[in-house]
Amino acid sequence: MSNQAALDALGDPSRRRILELLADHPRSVGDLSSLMPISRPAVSKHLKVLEGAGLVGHTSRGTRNLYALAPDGLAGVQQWLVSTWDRALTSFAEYVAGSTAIGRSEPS
Amino acid sequence: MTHQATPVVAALQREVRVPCDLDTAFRLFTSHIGAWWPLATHGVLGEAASVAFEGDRLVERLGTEVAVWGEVLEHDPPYGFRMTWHPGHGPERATEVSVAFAPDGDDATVVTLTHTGWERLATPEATRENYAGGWTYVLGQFAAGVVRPSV
Repeated sequence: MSNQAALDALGDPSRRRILELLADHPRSVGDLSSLMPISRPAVSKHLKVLEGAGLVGHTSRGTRNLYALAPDGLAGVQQWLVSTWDRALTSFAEYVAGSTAIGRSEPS
Repeated sequence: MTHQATPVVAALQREVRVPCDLDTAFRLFTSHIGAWWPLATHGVLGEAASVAFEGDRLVERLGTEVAVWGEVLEHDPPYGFRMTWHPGHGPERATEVSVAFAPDGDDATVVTLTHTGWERLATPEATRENYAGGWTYVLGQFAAGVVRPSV
């Protein structure tokens, strides 16, 4: 399924915590690790996953990177969910229309 | 510290109107799910797989491979059912899907699907302090603007 990377990224509690913290405002790796019970390398690793999933982006500020929520990160996941159900329900409606048409001679 | 009430996250809701009576709609949706579910694009095991309710579980199979998509929690034919939803994951990652069927005139039924439980993905540990702010916001974005447009 598409968007699996984003959904997988959301499956980890540390990564969700990072997203919570970034929802307040953009932060550096050091800032994040000072607010969490995990090391800077661990934070960096999680950020890499989040960035790979399109949920987080970064900008360089001098010697450090500042991380922020990607504006359309979760919109993608949401859109994917909506389109999944729309696709499924449309498929169901087509199936019902096909099934009920069979054996009926509908006047045209 | 214990959690405050779990933040309520907007449910994702979609509906569709189908040209048949209530009983038929419920039967086709559940017993015939393998005939209409778009497995090619929306399955775990691919196009060649099959999917069906087996007792209380919704199961996708391909040869010896098995993917359990969820477990039925409430079954109220022909008005609806409610189930856990975790295709591609174990039950610990479950959200919840409910499907309601309501007659719309004599020959049509409106099927409303509601997908909830995002807060379960958001609150894995009951020990976390200072929780309420950020993720609620994030999930608010996540679920915003998806209130029942018809298909």
